[in-house]
Amino acid sequence: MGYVRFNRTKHYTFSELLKQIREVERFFKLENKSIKRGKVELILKIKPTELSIEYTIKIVARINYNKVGIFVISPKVERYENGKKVPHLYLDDSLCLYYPRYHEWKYTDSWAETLIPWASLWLFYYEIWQETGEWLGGGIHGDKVISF
Amino acid sequence: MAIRFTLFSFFEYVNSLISQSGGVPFVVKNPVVDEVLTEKWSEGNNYKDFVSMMNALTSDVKALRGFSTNTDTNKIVKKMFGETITNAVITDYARRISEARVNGNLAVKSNGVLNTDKAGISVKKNTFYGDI
Repeated sequence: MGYVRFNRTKHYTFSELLKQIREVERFFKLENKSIKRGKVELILKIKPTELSIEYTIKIVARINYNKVGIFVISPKVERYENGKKVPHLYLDDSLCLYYPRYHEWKYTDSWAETLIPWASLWLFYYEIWQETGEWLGGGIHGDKVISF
Repeated sequence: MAIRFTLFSFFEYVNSLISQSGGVPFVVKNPVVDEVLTEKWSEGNNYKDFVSMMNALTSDVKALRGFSTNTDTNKIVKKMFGETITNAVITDYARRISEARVNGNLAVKSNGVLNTDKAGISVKKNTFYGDI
């Protein structure tokens, strides 16, 4: 796992990943964490409103990479629901939480202060979308900016 | 809580009048002027329809009382008030959260619950991305 994907791109070191885990643990209750073969997986439960169901989310990151994947694993969120495409999901079903070109997030940013709050926000708008069929959280769709 | 208590007291009171009436329309008078508000109940199936409506309403409100998630609550509220009104209320709630988000007043508690009380970690600006 000593492979550096992009020589000129900053990427996670083992100690940086440990720091991220500590920061997440400081504020959120982890259900599970694993660090195996350079891959970190954190499992935690969140709900966007007091009357929401609890969602189990998984955070995946790797040493020598600078991307972090956030997945809703229970109840599992997949690309299509009742024949409709779920908004703002990547092809691997991870959540599209920020627009890379706006530089809203960099890999050194605390997951606890960015990705997890954004995941909760995503779930909030997802629940609204399930009820009304409208995504009210705004965002970028292709080249089109939708304000909220 | 007070509204809820009043609502349930009202249901209990009206349902007790129905059960005591033995199928005969009871009388409800206007407390301000001399007028019988229920005079039309003696016509056709009006009283029977009222009793059916009260039974359905009581049952829905009892069900609402027992629900603890948005999904269950929305389902019965849609049944009671219709999809258009329910969706308008949900959309209005989303708009208020979005305003707090824009103004930097949105925070997330350790269980993930979003709030405008600044409890927990402040939600930073983000732009959701990807196809819709």
